[in-house]
Amino acid sequence: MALLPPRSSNLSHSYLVRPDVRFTTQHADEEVILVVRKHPVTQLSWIVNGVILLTLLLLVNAIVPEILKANQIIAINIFGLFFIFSYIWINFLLWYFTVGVISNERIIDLDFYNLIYKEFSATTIRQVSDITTKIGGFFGSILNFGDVFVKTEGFEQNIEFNDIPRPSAVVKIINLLMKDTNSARDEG
Amino acid sequence: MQNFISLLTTSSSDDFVGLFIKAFAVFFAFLYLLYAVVMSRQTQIMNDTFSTKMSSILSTISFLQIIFAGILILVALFLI
Repeated sequence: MALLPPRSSNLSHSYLVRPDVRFTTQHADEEVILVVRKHPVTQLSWIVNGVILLTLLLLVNAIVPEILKANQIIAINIFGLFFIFSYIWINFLLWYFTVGVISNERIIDLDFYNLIYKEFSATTIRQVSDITTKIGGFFGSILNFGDVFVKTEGFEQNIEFNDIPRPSAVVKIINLLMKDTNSARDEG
Repeated sequence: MQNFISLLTTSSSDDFVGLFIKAFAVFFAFLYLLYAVVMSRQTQIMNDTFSTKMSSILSTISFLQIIFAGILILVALFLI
């Protein structure tokens, strides 16, 4: 196997090399090389919303004590906190489980759009015909994140990793794996 | 049954605003329970699809929400 990077992960766990993970339909001899998630900067919207909601709850606490009774205020606070926690928790889980997985055999795109809808796309490294990266925008250029498009031969599944960190490094790893696969095929 | 109805209509919820808040709280608490059950189940499915070292922690937090939902129902029925 070509020289792939050693086990590592970044602070936000959005770019994990050789992580200790397993996914559904993983083969016995299949090794996970890379797991990517969306860059944390792209998740700022729900984080900011959570902070705003918490601030609103504090404001409500400053306004309503004169109108409502103490037990009602406590209840409103408990309900407000639970609502905000649920909002943050759902968004965190959707970010955490929406991953791109690159193994020594396949490229897998696992998307959770909401709580009850998921999409699982996979293609073998052998079927990959073209890889494109797209880095755009102010934050994308500064923080080095963007999209990776993996095209396959014929009408097979095309795979997209959106807003992932270090797209060029991801392409480099896929290229190394393709090279390995092709040399193994030639030898075979 | 009579006791249950009196529980909902008495305590400190004598005024209209209080009654409105209580009704809303009970409704929201039961919705939260429904959400917590779905959430817990979905977290399990997510963990089965893609499992990491954090899987057990995530499942536990999602399951805890069901207990929190129970607490919310009690709060809605008795505290308000």
